[in-house]
Amino acid sequence: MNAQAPRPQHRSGTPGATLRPGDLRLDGVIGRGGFRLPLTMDFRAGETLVLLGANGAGKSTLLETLGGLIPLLEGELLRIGSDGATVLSGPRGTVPAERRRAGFVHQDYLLFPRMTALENVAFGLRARGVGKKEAHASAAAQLRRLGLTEAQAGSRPGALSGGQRQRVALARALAGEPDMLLLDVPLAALDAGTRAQARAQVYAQLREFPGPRVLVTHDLTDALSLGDRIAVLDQGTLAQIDSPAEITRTPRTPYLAELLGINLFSGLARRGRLSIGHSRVTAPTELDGRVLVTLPREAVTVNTEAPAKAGRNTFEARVVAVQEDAQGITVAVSPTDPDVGLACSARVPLTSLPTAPIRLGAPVWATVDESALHAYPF
Amino acid sequence: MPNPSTAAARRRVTRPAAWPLLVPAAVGFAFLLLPLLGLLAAVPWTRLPEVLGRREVAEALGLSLVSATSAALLCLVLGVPLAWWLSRMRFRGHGFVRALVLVPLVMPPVVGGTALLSTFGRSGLIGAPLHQTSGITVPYSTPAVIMAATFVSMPFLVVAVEGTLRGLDPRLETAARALGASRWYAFRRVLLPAVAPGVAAGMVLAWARALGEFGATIAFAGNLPGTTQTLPLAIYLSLSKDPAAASALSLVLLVASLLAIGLAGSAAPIRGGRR
Repeated sequence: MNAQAPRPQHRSGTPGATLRPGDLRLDGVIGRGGFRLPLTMDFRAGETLVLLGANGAGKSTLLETLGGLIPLLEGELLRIGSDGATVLSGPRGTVPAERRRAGFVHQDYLLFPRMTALENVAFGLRARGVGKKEAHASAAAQLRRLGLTEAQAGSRPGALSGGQRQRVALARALAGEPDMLLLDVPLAALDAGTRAQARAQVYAQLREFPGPRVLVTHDLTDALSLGDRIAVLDQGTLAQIDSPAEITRTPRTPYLAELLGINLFSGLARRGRLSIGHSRVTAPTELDGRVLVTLPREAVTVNTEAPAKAGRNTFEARVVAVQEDAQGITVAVSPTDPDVGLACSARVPLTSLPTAPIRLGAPVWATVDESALHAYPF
Repeated sequence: MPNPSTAAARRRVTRPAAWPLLVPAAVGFAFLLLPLLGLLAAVPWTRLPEVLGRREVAEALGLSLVSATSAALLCLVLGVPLAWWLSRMRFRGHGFVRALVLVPLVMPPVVGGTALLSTFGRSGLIGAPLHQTSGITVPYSTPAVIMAATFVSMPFLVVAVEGTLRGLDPRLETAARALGASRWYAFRRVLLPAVAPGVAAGMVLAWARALGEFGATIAFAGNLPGTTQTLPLAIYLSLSKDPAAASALSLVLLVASLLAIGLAGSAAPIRGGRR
């Protein structure tokens, strides 16, 4: 089905760049079982777009819609070709998964248990009618490229390690020379040791793949290291789509701020001063109007005793959560008087713990380093 | 995996409590085993070639084997897709549909035979129009024997296959389709090999059940030597005339059952291999 050239961009969420052959454009509503998510976004050939979000945010739903495993509820999904656009999903029908040429790496890989690694990789070619000999030769080459030995190629998935299975899954996705590569949390099933190595390999394979690459993850490290752009799905919307640098500098959702380990507030900039809610905490600014403000957790100090000289940015609070790890503790505080203080989290390194232990519900004094506040337009 | 020391500890703890379990266990075992020994003792070993060489016995045995094998194959062709459908059902009340499929498992076979007769009999729901339009009469024929055997044994295969299908990750089919496989190709190349052990075990069970079928057969197909008289029917008849011969014929069915158990047992260990 050939359609007219893609319509000009009119909704937010997508940079209005011109589309090139190989790109995908989604303008519609994805969803399943009562869940609906309106999306307008481009997937560019040669670019890795990372979908980041909490469970149930719609990341896998989007991936399966792109791959044709579930229908698009409204609107269109177009694939740009050298001579016009093809409607992959639209009101007049859907190109089914088996004819869509999408290379999938599924969550848990979903390798076929009763086939060898080689047969797994050759499966897609065989299903499309390629002869056994040719399919196996091509699959063997693909497995070699990913560093698997001939013995491993002849083993069933059950006999392979997690990292090897991951590579077989990647080889299987690449074997059919797909138009797009769709990876659903490809590294989640690996332990910390093999993960860094597998990430480097996935990165290398993604670089070489010419079509759009879409990768779902809930891991910030994966997102930042693998993505050319990161789309944050949160609270039923596409909350933000930006480069990794921009994502870390100007997060726009509490979910992302939590992942980054920083505090995020909405505030108001007026007459050169920044205010956050009713709180007394303030800083100079050059912006004007509604703003978002980040505050590193390290810039909040927590004391169990009243400071000798209480500054403007010090307030009384109560500890509402304490989380310990190997490097220190993270303390969430809630101000006793919301007109004075800020509800925020503080990072206390083990090397500078206060004299008295910090306990849940205990009264504390929190001090915000105002120079660490970073404001940007809402 | 329990480590040896805890296993030893468990043995020590359970030993005093073992007798109240061991005695009934031994009685139960003996109750199951003694009739088999009794049967072996009653077999007229010297007359065995003569009894088994009788024409009606050969006919009954042949009919039993043909009908049991046909029934097992019918179960395969109809039961595997049925199990696939049951394992995929998502609508309200699918539990009720599953229960319906399993009814022949718990229903007295003679009731099943009566039900078949009232459906496929000359004045039955399907039998009447069938007879009027084509002149075909189903009951009291060899096909009726096969139908009765299929009716009682299909649930065995369905249960075995559905269990293995349910244990399978449903997303495997999705993965196959995403790789370009049609639903039929995915079923043939991915699902079927993965449930093959379940299918094999189910077929052996169905075959054994069909081989021993009595109640539904006698109600629906009757007891016509050469056409519908299977080995179990022949055994029942000769029990009043020649009990020793009945024992000899029973030995044949016993050997067949033992073979089936052996086959099912050799298929079972391959199961559970999900990865």
